[in-house]
Amino acid sequence: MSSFLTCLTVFVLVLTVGFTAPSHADMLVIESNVPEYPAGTHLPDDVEKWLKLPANCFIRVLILPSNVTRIFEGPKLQRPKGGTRGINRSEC
Amino acid sequence: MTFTNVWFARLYVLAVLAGFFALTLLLHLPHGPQHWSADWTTAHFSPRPETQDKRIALVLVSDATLSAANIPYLSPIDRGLLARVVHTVDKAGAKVIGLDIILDRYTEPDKDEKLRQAIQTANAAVVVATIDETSSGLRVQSDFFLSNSDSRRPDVGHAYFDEHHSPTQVSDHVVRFIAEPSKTNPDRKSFAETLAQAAGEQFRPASHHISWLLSPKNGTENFLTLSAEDVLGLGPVSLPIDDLLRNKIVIIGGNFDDRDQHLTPLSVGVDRHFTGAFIHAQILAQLLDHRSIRELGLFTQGLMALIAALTGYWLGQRSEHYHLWLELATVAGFVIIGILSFKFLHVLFPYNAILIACLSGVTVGHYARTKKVVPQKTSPTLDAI
Repeated sequence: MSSFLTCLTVFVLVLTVGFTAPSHADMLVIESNVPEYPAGTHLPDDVEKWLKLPANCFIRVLILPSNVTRIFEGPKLQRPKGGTRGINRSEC
Repeated sequence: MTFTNVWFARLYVLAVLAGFFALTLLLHLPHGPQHWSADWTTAHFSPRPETQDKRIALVLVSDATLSAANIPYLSPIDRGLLARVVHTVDKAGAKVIGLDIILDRYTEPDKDEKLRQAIQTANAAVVVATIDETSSGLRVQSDFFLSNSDSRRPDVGHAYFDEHHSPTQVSDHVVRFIAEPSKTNPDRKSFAETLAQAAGEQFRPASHHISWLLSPKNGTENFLTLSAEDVLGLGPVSLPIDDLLRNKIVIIGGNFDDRDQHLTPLSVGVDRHFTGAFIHAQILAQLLDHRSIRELGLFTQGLMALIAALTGYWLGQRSEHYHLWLELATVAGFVIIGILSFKFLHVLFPYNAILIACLSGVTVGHYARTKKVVPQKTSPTLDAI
């Protein structure tokens, strides 16, 4: 009887954990001007909690398996006065 | 100044008001039915989708693409490279391909021919963004890239945006409208409208105001955005391009620091520029979603202005010395009404007309009050004198 209860408890626990555990997404860096995170790097899905990028830096990631893109950016720099060009995207 | 006649006093107030408003309008005419609050409202109260749009993707050619493909020049963008991008996107199974790159001059003949073949033999419906051509100048678009041949002729949409240029107004170069066709090509619709038609969507929005989408709630970008070098397999990552682009409307455009970058109401407050491809994608999403921003008709606006003027007059008559507070409360109230009508009715509240009418009414009502004659007490001392 006790083994049955143990099995039942484990079964319920497995089901509960299976339904409530967050699904982990894979974030693949596909575009970046940050030397520490070049294209091809995999980032954990809690990256938004700790990633702080310097000004004009950006990382574009492809989130798998949902196949959507997301961009993380540092603060924007002012466009150069008197020029017609914006900020060079490769500068970080 | 003292007035012996009440009607002369009222005329005087009206003349001052007319002069004040004429001066204001001459200094800076409003760009539309709303003033600055329209951009602010758009940037904060536009619809925010749950996640990224699954129907539209952007493939952007940038300096990094040219570098990865060992192309030493930027402009015109290498036609051989563009042909490869179009071919790869088509092979991935895109439903519609939009080429948001102007093809208004010849480059290297063999590469021009490759691009022409790519856009005329693609399995997907292809829409090419064009600019108007002068009758005397080069007609490379119509005579070469879009010319009739044995292959299928691509659809054509005009590439320009409406930034509200007028000789009497200072343009702020902010894209707010879906541009109307030019007079030289009245049948040519905008690039995004032509893309929507190619995807089987015939929706016509109620006005030419763009109905923008804010960034999705889950933090993703509005549209799947890929670098052209990754699509071509020239980048450091290998992407499942077929899975990413199959059955999508794919807009191929440029992402360069010095061209095709625009301010929008979403970004004018922070001076952020968006690519033309992104703006076309926003308009396309609006058409696919059947979203519209509505403007009230002239009659309705006139009626509302009349009611506002009469209400203002009534309030002004009773405002005593709280005139300034009344005007401030009126302005705040109209801003709130503008937000609510935008958020829930998708209607642009005609702020400028209503406010001018109401404040005119308040001012006229306040200064044209007939003062009660208070009988003067007579002093017995003075009487005796």
